Amino acid sequence: MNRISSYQAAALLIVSRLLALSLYLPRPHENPAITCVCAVLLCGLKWLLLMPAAQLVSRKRLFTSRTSAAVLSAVTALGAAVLLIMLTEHFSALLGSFHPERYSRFGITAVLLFICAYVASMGRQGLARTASIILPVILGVMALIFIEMRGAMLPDRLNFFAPDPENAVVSTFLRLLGGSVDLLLCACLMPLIDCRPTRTVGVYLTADALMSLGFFLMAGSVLGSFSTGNLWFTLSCCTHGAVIDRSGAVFLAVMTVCELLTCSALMLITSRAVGHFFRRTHQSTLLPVTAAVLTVLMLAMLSRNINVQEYAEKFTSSIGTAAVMTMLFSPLYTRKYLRTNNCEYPRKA
Amino acid sequence: MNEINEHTPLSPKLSETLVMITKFFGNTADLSVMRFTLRGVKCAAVSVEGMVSSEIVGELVYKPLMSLENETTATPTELKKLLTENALMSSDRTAARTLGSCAELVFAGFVLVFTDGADSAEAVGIQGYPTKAVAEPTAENDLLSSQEAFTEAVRTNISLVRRRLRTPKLRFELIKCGKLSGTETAIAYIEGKTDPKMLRELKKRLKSVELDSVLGPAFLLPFLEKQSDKLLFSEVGTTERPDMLCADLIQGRIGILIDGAPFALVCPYLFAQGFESIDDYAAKTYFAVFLKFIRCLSFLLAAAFPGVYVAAVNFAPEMLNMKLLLSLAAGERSTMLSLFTEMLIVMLLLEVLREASIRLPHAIGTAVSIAGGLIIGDAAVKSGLISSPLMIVVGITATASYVLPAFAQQLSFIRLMFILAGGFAGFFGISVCAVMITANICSQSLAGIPYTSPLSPFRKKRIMNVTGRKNFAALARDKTTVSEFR
Repeated sequence: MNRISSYQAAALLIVSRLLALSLYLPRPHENPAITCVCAVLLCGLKWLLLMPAAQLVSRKRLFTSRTSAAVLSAVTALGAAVLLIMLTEHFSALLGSFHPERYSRFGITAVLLFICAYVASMGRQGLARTASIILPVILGVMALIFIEMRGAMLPDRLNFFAPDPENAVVSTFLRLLGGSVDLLLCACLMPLIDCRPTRTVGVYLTADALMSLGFFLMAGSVLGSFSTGNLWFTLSCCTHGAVIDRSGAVFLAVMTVCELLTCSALMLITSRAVGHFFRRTHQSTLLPVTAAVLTVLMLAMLSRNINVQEYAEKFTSSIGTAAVMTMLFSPLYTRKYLRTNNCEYPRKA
Repeated sequence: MNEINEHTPLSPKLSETLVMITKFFGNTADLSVMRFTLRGVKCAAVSVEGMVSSEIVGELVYKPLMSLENETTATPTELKKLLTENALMSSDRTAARTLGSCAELVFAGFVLVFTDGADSAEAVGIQGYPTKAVAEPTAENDLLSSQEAFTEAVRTNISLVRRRLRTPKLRFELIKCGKLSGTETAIAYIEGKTDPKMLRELKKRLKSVELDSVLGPAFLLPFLEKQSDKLLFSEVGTTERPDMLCADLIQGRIGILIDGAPFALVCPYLFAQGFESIDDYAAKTYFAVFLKFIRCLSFLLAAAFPGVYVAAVNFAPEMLNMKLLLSLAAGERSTMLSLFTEMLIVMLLLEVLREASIRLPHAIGTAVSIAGGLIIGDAAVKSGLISSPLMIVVGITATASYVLPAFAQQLSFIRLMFILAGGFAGFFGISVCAVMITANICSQSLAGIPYTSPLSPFRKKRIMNVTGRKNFAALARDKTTVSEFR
């Protein structure tokens, strides 16, 4: 049985959500209170989308024809590959800009996907177990830093005024949705969960809401209104602890771990989808080939100064939402297909 | 005479049989053939010198045989019946009918008694080959528990386990591994506790061993583990303590005892077991929890401390507070090599010293450790080759690495990986290394039991055994076995 438990899947999704928070780029003078509200609204929207999908997956087998399976595989591979490129490019750009004397954007881009391929080669169970072991460590480290940062947090800095709240809410909501790689991950992981995918969704969305609220409130109380630039590294410059003076390296380590786990999951999904499409199942060759192709593509884009971040939000939101909608509507397609072909509807035991 | 092989049956003619045996054994110098006549029937006793005790052979074989002699003669059939029913000689008796079975028995310490006119030989077990006495464990030392360790003789090891588990449910199955060595290997398990599927799988893997010789546990490991070359940690553990093996058998694990090796293999072996010690069960619960914490801390120190130190000083000095930073900077300023190079050199020298202390005789080994550790280290610091803070880091790392002997190989390798990762890429490299190693550990499983159980997949009932130790009343109620981690 090659399935993962609901808590392991939730751990992987929480890690990906933490990555999204660490990579979040606010608009100039963005109101942290509005960001918090939008984060909670986003959790609500995800609940509305993912819970019914989880119920369907647990009760009915999502049966499709061979042609539609091939199309689904191709679309999944493409979507996951695009997200993988977005995340890797964003991460390497961030690292290169914050620590230009230490890390080369080119170097990180060249090696990151191969490292992810190695981690992905451990299989879905290995990856899920890794996430479930590493997550408590990450949360513990972040909790310690949160405690160390309490001296710098002033609730008075939180500002509830916004000149154009409706537009601010819409644009912030879309930015947050644009960082939600976890939607596609959740849609792809759900059929692989051992039992009760609804538990996965419940745990992960609750953690998402709490983490997002905590992070944005903390950032708002330390920084006031958000200016341009990455919140994660900006916050790291404001830490001043008893044991560790500046926690920038710790923030970097946490972000790297989240990036590796999320990208490894996406790499696994991409290579498996490619394998299903071409009917090849040897992951030992598919994974390095996928990593090599994507790395070459990214280095080519880097050398031509093609900035993918301009399209990141639109792509990520649409891919994630499309993945979940596919899951929601798949049983309807199944019913129609079976009626056309006079077959019995397969039910789970 | 036709060509002879191991399937050739013995001839009823004694002279022919003895010629066949001598030819089959290639006239080897240690083959002993004693001819005698008993009740008018020609007989012979065949054994291998060094495998049987000549004193005990005289007492248990020749004396009873001579007691059968009287004035009357007997037919070969009557004499055979006398030998099998009237002369007890030893409780370990069997019959040999082919040259192959003769060879197998004689090399296992049996004496073969041939009688003219019989097409089989009576094999009497009189093992007397030299073996080491039961000694103290060398690597798994504990204060408050048994000081007996396994020996090289598998039969002695079986008795050490049997003495501790006096239940008919404890089973031993003997199989032979190695085409040339024919090494006796005993599979130990407790009926009702061990998963039959896991036992069948293990037996299948042992029977698939295609080696010419099996001279120790390492020969069997690649056959027991799938993908053993790609995995950092081993899913099959070793122990030299009979009490530890018994504790593992009670939990439903399977033990493998190999003739010639003073270790037992235990499978499946979980990551959390490397942090356990039999002393935990002799200490109070709160102290056992504290000891577990110390061992986990030692693991992290031994694996990652040097790498994190190099990463922090080279890539993230802003992490360190001002006083510590100034002290480290002063220490590093006076040395001629970079911190990364110093750390690599000192770590490699540490491995050289460790290897030297294992290989050298005990009397000189201690002197080498003192010379290497104190004199060379002290001289190196005073001459400015390496800095004092670095020596402190190395000292802490070396001490921490000896807390967990089960992970000695892996810790050495992981430590070097972290140093390289931290030296080249700072905390980015450290994180990458940590994720890759964790993923490697998490991907392992044996017979469907994940290596990282009960941490992941999380098992609430068993997690107390990882973080500490349940009290014995709770352990008595808890009847869980390792199969429940599947």
